[in-house]
Amino acid sequence: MITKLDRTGTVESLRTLIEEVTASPDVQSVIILACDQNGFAPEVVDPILETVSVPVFGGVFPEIIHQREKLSRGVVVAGLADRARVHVIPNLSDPEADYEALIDETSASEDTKTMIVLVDGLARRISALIESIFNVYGLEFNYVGGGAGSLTFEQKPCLFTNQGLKQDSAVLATLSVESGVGVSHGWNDVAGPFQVTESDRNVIQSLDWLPAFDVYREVVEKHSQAMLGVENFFELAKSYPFGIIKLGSEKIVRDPLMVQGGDSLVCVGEVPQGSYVHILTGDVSSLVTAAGRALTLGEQSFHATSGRRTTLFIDCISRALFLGEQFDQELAAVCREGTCLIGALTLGEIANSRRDYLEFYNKTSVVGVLES
Amino acid sequence: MLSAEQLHLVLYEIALSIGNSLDLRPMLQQALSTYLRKINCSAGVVLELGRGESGRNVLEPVHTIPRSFGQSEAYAAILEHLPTYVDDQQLKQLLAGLPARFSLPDGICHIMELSGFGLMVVVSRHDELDERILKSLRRLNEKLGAACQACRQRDALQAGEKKALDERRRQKAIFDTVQAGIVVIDAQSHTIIEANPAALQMIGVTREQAIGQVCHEFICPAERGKCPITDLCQMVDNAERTLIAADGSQLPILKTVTAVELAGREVLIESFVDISERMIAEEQRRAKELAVAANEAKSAFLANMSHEIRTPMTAILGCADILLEDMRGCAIPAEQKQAARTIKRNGEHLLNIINDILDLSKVEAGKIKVERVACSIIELVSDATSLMKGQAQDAGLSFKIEFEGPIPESINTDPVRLRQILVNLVGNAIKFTESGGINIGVKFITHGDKPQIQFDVMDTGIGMTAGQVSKLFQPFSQADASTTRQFGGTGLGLMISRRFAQLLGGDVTVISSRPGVGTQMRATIESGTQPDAPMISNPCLAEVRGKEQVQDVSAAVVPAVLPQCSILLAEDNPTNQMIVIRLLEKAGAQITAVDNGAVALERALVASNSGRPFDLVLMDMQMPVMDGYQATARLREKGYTGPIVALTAHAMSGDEEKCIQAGCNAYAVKPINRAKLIQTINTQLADRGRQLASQLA
Repeated sequence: MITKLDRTGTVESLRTLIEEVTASPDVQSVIILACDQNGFAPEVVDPILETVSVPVFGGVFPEIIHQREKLSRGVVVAGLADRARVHVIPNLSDPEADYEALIDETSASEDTKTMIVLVDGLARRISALIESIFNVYGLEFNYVGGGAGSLTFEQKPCLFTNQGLKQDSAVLATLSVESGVGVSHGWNDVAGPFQVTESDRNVIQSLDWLPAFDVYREVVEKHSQAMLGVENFFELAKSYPFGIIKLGSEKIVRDPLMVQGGDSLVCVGEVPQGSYVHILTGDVSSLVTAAGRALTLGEQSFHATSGRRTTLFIDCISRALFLGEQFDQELAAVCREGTCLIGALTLGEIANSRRDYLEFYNKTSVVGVLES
Repeated sequence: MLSAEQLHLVLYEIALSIGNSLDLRPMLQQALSTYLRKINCSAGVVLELGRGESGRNVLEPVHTIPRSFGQSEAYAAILEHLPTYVDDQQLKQLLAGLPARFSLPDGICHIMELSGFGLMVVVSRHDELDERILKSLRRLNEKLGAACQACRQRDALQAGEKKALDERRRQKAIFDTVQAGIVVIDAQSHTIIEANPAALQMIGVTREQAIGQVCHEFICPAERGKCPITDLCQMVDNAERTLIAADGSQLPILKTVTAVELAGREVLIESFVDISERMIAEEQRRAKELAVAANEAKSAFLANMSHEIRTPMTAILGCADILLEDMRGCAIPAEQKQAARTIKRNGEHLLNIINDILDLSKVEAGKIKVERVACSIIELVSDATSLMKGQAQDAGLSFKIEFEGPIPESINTDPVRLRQILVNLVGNAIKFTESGGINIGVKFITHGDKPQIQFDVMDTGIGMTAGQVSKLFQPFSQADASTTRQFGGTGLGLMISRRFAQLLGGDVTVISSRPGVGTQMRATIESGTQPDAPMISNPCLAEVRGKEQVQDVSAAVVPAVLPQCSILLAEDNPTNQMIVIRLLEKAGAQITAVDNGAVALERALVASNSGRPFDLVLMDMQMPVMDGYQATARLREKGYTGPIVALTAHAMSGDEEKCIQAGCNAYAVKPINRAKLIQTINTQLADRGRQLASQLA
């Protein structure tokens, strides 16, 4: 895999990187990981994307990763020797959309081993899409990916395709390269369980028949010894996600983003009504350890005979926000000497290593070890 | 280790995901996906237990997550453990062993019972689910099974509702499109509550105008309180009634009224059809039946008249024959001989009139059937003209036959009818010509695309005016009344000839006629030949003459005698009996006469049983006590095989067939033609002789 990094985040440098990477005859597909701060607008980026002669896919994320460096401006362009099949699923917030039917129209070649799934992280029906992907393609290959978008929580074009930047969509790219996938988060119970008595997709309205924000605030304030308000909600909430119980596995984490209407909590990803949640928290050690475990799991499940590999690290932006300067430790935990590491800090993570039900995670480290 | 609380929470979440829809697939999608997520399994399938056509239990997958799991190797391995068809014993054993688990190449399969519905299979690619979890899931599986059953019951209910809806649509379609009028009436108030388009059209109102009207004030002539159904308790089933239309007109209808209860309300369903046209058709049918009956009566009258005239004519002509024969060579005054000849000639004339009337009657009734058989045109002309030629010569007239151009060797026509046409035309020519002669021209022509034979008969007779020609083909009409007086005849012959010619694909027409100069008549018939039929290029009179000579010779050798034979004669009329006895005895036969069918039956059987059967039975068909039909049929029933010749004055169409059907071998018509009768008897005796000889052989 040919990897190029640009730290300026200009459109011109994006064009240059793409040209440099695609100049190699070995390159059959291109992955683009870009920072939201670059301010890429479709009207200037689309003409570049439309002229790329090989399949292109990728996303605009709050931040991106290259080796042990986290960047808030810049672009990583990676050239794959494998020709990806890229499918765009539109209308990812449309309550009437039948994603299973749309995915049925896509096709994966028989030698597909890995699917990279990138979604608009602020779309409202990501879980429905994930369930549809799993229903159609099942456990035939590994899945790795995450949510693109901006920390401003303003939905905008954030997915790279040969047809330009796409908003409220998903990009499914199938590859024939071997991969290994590891998932872990390191968040532990603080309080619960609480029954989600009322919810609307990703908005929790009540817990145990009490206003969701009231219940949440009481627990967080008690544990953090800090006042939780609407204004400072995300600052404190990034340390206290929800966890949905699952037998024999880590809880599925849901990241509360903001307060809606004074009572409800808006999360990244759906929280089914009737489910039981705990309020979780973590520390540097638990999170960094979890990231290392994700790498280990990914490597353990990687069975390629070739020694060449690239690590694709999909880590939740809220983990970086939570860890602050200690995020270097998380990067160190997933970066092996002599191995190329690229990645993104995302709004939600997608992963499966052919063992579990495909899930949309939050606040979780996903390591994809790709044959390169 | 999972805590009890965590397990309960997981179970609770799964329980909440069950039964949230009454559509099986979305219900199972939600429940099974939650199930799999919560117990950390990667795939699952729900199998429904049903009864196959063979009566065996069938396990069929109804929902699989992921969908592609159905095509996986793991699924194939599961099917090896769960055969599609199981008998009751196998099913009992299978259920008794649940929950069960077994290893797959990349996971562990768990099979659990969904009570009352089927099975659920889940695959874990982690550790196996422990006993505690499996036991805990049992209650959930019962709930899931019940939810699946509810979905199926809803499906069945919806299917029933859909069926009911389809039935309702079907009934409405019939109601709206049937040609019969249907009106639904409330039995209590007699108001119309529904009417179909056919009814509205007959009444002449819109639906809005009809609904709510009281039937006996609107469409029914019955008075209030005298409803035939509700007040007078009458049955109206296919009854002829009257419908009052909006414009006051009365429509004859055929009506059926049925009282039924609809949605707790007693209603009358009236269905009716407009029979105006049917009644008109019925009147026409009755008129036609009357006409047919009148025609049949006329035919019966003619048949009876024919019989009643022929019977005495048999006696008159027979006696005249006897007288003339007895007078031959005797010194009897010339006046007496002349008187006997007059009796015979006028008798024959009367017979011809009767024959003509019968022919005309048959033609008009369409009972004349022409046949088409291959025959030689030269022979036909020869046959028809041989006798006429003699008459012409006797009258001092020349007689000439000419063939113009080539003619087919053989034509397809009815030789009997054609002969009748030619005899009539030539006979007329001779009759109305005092001097000069008769010329007959025969020619092969093509009329349109049909090949025809054209016969021109030209005479130098009295001729006709145009006015006389115009009346020529009307029945009982000759050129004028004086003609009848002078020349005799009924005027039927030409008309009959023309009808025969038309039946044979041609016509009879007057080509030219001038009073005092002569007449040219033309008869045409279809030749019925193919374009490539063999032709005689130069037919000539010599051939005709040759044929005539041959025919004359053959006619001469026909014997007027019978071999020594015994004949049983059944004839009730004493005169006719006497004539036939005299005639046949003179020809050499020994006659035993009886006067009814019953005696004839007895005599014939007695003689047959005694070993000395009659050689032939001559059976009059209309006799007292037992008629000839019955006597013949009884004889045949009793195995009598000897020849029976019918002797009858019935000469109408179908009479011969009737005699043959009764068991007769041949048929002879009264008045008796001596030569023909003897020939018929000879033929039958010869046939019988051959029959007996072959039996002996």
